Parts: sequence; C-alpha cells; structure tokens
Amino acid sequence: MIERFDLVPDKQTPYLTFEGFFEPSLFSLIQVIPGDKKTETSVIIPKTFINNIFFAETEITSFAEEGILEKLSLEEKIKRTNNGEIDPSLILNISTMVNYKIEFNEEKSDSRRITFSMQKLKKMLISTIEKEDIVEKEETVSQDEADVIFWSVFTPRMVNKREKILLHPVTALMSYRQFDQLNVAILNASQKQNGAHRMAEMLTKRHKLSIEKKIGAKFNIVNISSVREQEILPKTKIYFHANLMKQAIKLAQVLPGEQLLEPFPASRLSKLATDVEIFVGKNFE
Amino acid sequence: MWKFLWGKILNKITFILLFSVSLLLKNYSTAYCAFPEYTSRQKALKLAIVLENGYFKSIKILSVFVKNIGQDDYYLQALLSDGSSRKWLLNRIREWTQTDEMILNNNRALVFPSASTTDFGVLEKNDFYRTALNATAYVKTFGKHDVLEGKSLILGILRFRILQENDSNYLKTNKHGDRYRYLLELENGTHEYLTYTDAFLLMQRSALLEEVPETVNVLRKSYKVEEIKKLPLQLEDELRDIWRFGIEVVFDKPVMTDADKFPYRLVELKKKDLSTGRLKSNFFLQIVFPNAEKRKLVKGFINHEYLHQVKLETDKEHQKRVILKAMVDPDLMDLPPYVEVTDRNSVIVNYYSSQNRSLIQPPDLPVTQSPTEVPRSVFTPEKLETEFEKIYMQALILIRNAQKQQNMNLRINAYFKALEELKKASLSAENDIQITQALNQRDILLITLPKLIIRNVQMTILAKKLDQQEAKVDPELSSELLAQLAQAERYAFNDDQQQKISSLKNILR
Repeated sequence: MIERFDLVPDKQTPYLTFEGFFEPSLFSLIQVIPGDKKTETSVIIPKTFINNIFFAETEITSFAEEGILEKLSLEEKIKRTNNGEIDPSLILNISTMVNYKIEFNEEKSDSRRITFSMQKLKKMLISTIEKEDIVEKEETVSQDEADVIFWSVFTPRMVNKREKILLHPVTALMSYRQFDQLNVAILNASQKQNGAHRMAEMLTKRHKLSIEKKIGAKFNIVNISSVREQEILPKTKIYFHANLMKQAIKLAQVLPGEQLLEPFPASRLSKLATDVEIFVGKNFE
Repeated sequence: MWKFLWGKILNKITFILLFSVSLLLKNYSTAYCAFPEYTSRQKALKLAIVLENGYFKSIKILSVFVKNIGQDDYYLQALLSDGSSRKWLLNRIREWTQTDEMILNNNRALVFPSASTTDFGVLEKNDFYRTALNATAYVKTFGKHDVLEGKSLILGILRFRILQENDSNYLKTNKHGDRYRYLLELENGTHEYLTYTDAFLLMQRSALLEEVPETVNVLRKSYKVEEIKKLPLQLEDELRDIWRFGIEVVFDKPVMTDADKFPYRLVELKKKDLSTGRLKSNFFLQIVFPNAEKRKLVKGFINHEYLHQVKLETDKEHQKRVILKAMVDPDLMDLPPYVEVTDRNSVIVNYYSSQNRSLIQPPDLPVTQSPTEVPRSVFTPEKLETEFEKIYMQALILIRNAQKQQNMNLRINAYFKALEELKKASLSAENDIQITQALNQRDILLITLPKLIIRNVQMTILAKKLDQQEAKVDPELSSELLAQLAQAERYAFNDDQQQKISSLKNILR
C-alpha cells in the first residue's frame, strides 16, 4: 500500500522515496523500465495498491524541490489471475527535468518505504531541448578552466597517496570492510525480452542458497532492467568492484554459459549501492 | 495414397508454421531495437528548420511543418518542389539520412547519434574537414563495454582521407547502419573509419587536436614486445602472509602510458570434462596492452606459480593490442593483479597469492546481520580527507614502508610507530567501520610483532657471536632489544613465545 512520497534533493543523486506498507520479499520483482525519452522512466511495483485517502491526486506536476521532477503519475493495474486471485500492481511514470538513471535502492528500502536513487547522467552535447540548453549554459566553465580540465586527463599523472592506497590490492585490503551482502543489478543486454528477469528468477529460485554459501554473504538483487541503447552483448558480462573479484568469479561459476568479468570502469563507478552488475548477453539460455 | 497426401499436407503446415514463427521473431527483434517514429514538439520544430532547403531523393524540400498525432507524438510534413506533400516519420528520416536519400543544404549532414532516441545533430562538414586537416593528434576514447571503457589515448595523425570507391569500407555501414565516410590514418599504424555521426561526436568532444602541450605524450609509434620475463615469488606482506610474483613485459621503447591504461579481465571458458561429462569452467586472466604489437616470437611459459599456459597474443578484435593471457585457478587467486610501469621499457604485472585463508574467508552469515547502510571502505567516497583518513593513511604508509625495510630492527621500530598511528586513528574514528579497521590492523600487527622481535633478537645475538666470538651485545643495543622484548612479552600469545622471550632476556642481561 503506497501512501505518500518524498523527494530528497541532492546535487548528484536525489532520492525518490515512497512511504506505506511493502513486502520486502517482493523487492526483487520491482521493474525499472527506461522510457522512449531519456527523461522518462516507468517503474512497476507488484502487489501494491494506492491508498486513495493519502494519495488523492495520481498525477503530480508541482514539487517542493524544483528542477528534478517534471511529472509523476501513478497508475493502479488490477488483474484477476487464472485461479481467481486479485493481482494488483502499481505503475509509476516518472518524468525528470534532465537525464537521470533511476534505480531501485534496496539498502534504503524496507517494509515501510521504498527508495529509488536518481543518478544524474552526463548530458548529450547535441541536446535539442531548450530547457536543457538553459541548464547547459549554467554549467559552462571558462575556457581556461576547461582547457586545464581537458589536458589534465592526458598529462602523465603523479598518482597521489590516496589513489595509490585505494588502487593497490594489498592496501585496499586494509581499507575495505568484509562485506556481508552482495548487491547485484541485472541488466538485459540480449535481444530477448525479459532476459534480465529470467536470470534474476533463475538466480533467486534455483541458486540463491548455493551462491550465498559460496560467497558467504547475502545475495540481493537490487535492480532489474534493460540497457537503454543498443548494447547487445554476445557474452554475459559481469562488472565488479575490484575488491569483489573473488565473489564475481563465484557468481560466474554458477551462471550458465561463458562469462566475461571486468572491474567497473572508473568512468562508470557510481556512488550507488551496486557491488556487481550483470549484463545478460545473447549467450544466456 | 492417402498417407502420401497427408504427408504432403503436414509438410506444408510445418513449413507455414516455421515461416510464421521466423517472421514473428524477425518482427519482434526489429521492434525491440526500433528507432522511435515520433518525437517531442521542440525537437520536431528544430528538425523542420534543419531540413528546409535540403534535398529528398534529389527533390528540393521547400518547406517542412510539424504535425502531431497525440499530445507528445510529433512528426513532420514536407512540401517538395515537385508539388508533392509527404508525411515523414522520424525513423524514416533517419534511414534516408543513412542512405544519402536525404541531404541537407550547405554541405551539412544530419546525424542521429543514439539508436534509441530522436536526439539529433548537424555535422558542418566543411568545419570538420578544416579541423581534421589541421589536426596533428587524435584523442581516441574507448567506448562502452570495451575493457578500456572511458579511457583515452592521444595518437598522432598521419593522414585524413575521404573514403572512395577503392577503399575496402566504402559504402559499408557500422552496426547502427551509418555509412563509413572518412578515414583517419594514425602514426601507430591503426585506421579509424568514421561515419558522419562519429565525425560529429569527434567535433563535440574536441577529439582532433591541432596543438598539444609539451606535457602531454602523443603516441606516435606502437610499443613492440621484445620478451616476457618471470619475476620470482617474494614476500609482499608478512603480516597477512601475502606473496607476490610477477611477469615483466619488455617493450622496445620507454612506456609513456599510465598503468591504468593496462586493464585486466577474466574470461570464462567452459569445456567438457571427459571423465564426468560435465562442463567445467576454466578462467583466463588477461592483461590488455593497447597501442602495442607483437612482431616476433615471444616465448611464454607453461607455468608460473598459479598461472598456467602464460602467453602473449595479438588481440584479433582490436588494432594494435596485445594480451598477456594465463589460465588461473580462481581458488588460488585471492587478489586482483596490479600493473606498474617501470623506467626500463617495461610493464610489470604483479600477481598475489596467500596461504592465509582468512583473507577471503566469508563472514559467518548468522552473526553478521549488520544494519543495511554501512560504508564499504574506511575512506569516504568524496575526495575530502577526514582527520581519521589522514592518520589511517599515514599508518598504512608506515606499514607498507616497514615491509620493504631489510633491516629488521628498523622494521620493528616502524611497526611500533604504525601502532601509535593506528591508536590515534582509532581515537579519531567517526564510524564503526573506521574503528573496526584500525583495531583489526592493530591486532594483525600485534600477532606478528612478538614473532619478529624474537627472531630479531635471536639473529642479533647470533651475529654478534659470529663476529666477535662472544655473546656480549653493546649496552645501547641491548637495552633497545630488551625494550622490544618487553613489548613482545605483553602480546605473546603462547607459552613457547613466552619461554623464548624470557630466555632471550636472560641472555641479553
């Protein structure tokens, strides 16, 4: 039952929180589907109703925090299953002002609230939307400053102390805590529909216990979605944080077919709570 | 005869069924990757202005209007010079631009950089030619899902060309259906084929450089591999019993590329186990060297510690890339490899192993039900250094430097300093993970220190005996060793150590 929502502002990663009563065991079935436009995302929450007393309006266009959301609409879908049971689900259609990658954040969700993190995506320079042009202008830096930033990427670097410690496997070992849960996102990069869902279902129904035993941690699927662009991969790919290589290998051993494992590229390392990302490739049967 | 007729009918039915299924699948797969037919109002208005006065199948476009079928679904309606009026959906416009059936005026090209959104751009071809002809270097940024994703190399440009009939990629398209138009020949011998979209994005990224500052290294030649060498196993961390061995890849010239441009990945290959008939996973660890090539035979190794079938191969999918490949036993590889660039024309890949199972020992599930939001590292994700971070970092540096110290006495003293820093760090900790890590490091040091001190005192006494034929140690050193033994006594964790300490104390006194 969904009762109210809250938008927690942040310059980089705002959070969208819905309060009410939820069933945490169904969190892995929450679907985040990118829309046709980069500013649109749909979210399907299974077995959920709207509490009409608190949520009188199902289409919201004005928000306390400006500049993040453009529109939020809630749609209740109630179906009757073959055995006569009622199967309600809630569809959230989220329109944002600029491009955000919306992900379900299981760490910040429990039986009384569900949270979605909204990670700001780098804007395409060729944007044709006037509103975005305005934002782009605001973010412009001076030419000299831009030159310094541009060339700094290519100048041979004196790796600083901090980087050296975080990058070296032995010192990294002294800096990371032993983890007790592995947060996994599964993304469909195969041409087949529902690839990510099928893999999530297979992992949770058939292999959850054996994975947890192998990696010695709770196995949480925190996000299931499809890749936005044409990123069809021939082989399933597992991205992992460098300190979780061993766990990623153990996961690969469980998955059917052959996988490719790579540490997260530095350019994509996000502050989100995902430890491992699985891009389901064409070879997943 | 009936049987024969039935057989024929059934054959036809099967054929029809198969045909419809394949048709369905085809439609489904195209629908999945389909480019949108409609766009937003703003984009449609801008596109209409761009298309005016252009040419559609050699007919001049007189004017273009914006129309809609729903609240947010806009398309274009065009009036052509032959008097016809055409309805243009976005996906069709994209197809026509790809096949040159739709051309913009003033030597411009319309591009749709994303295959799933209707964002578009206009390539000013004349500007691009001028930039490309004046450019001396090209910033190659590796795309998504490349092992080098997001990283860039600056490569010297040899020549810019427009593709012509005799070029192998002339009229060929990339996976998005965009035709290759230009060729950038680079000094390292690689070729970059560019579509209009690529050219547009290069202009957007300022990837073609006319002048390069002196501090920036432009890669003009590829690195040629001379040989690969084994680096023997040696102790890396005595506190955690971590050992290091390596492979040095020697090139023909100094390596001017940062170590982070030599990434690693693991490739799983499944093979049928002949004895069980089941599929068995084999993991291959690969280190990728961009802008490198293997021109001569480089001898590999059958084994080197937990690496098997170590060899250097040319990457068949990418130009000027070599891969250092080795089969690994994933159970023995606890830590990821670490790459270092040396000043002797080489790159060292360090591999780590440990007998200490607690390194990767998974936490005991029932007792580790921690609250959900616990930071993963003692270091904050932002680059702001907290007081704890500064002190903890200092302690880590002291420990790492101590491990490189050959003189045991100095090493023990450095460990004592690290202990003091760890205490300060614990006192400045701001959350549980910080204090836990600081105390863990302290405990690891305290387990190892008594052993080290006992060994140090034993070796010192033995050395004195050998040198001077008498057991007397000079009083200053003696008191220092006694102080160390006093510390060791406090943390000795078994009787054997306690006995050794008291006997050594007696000798020193």
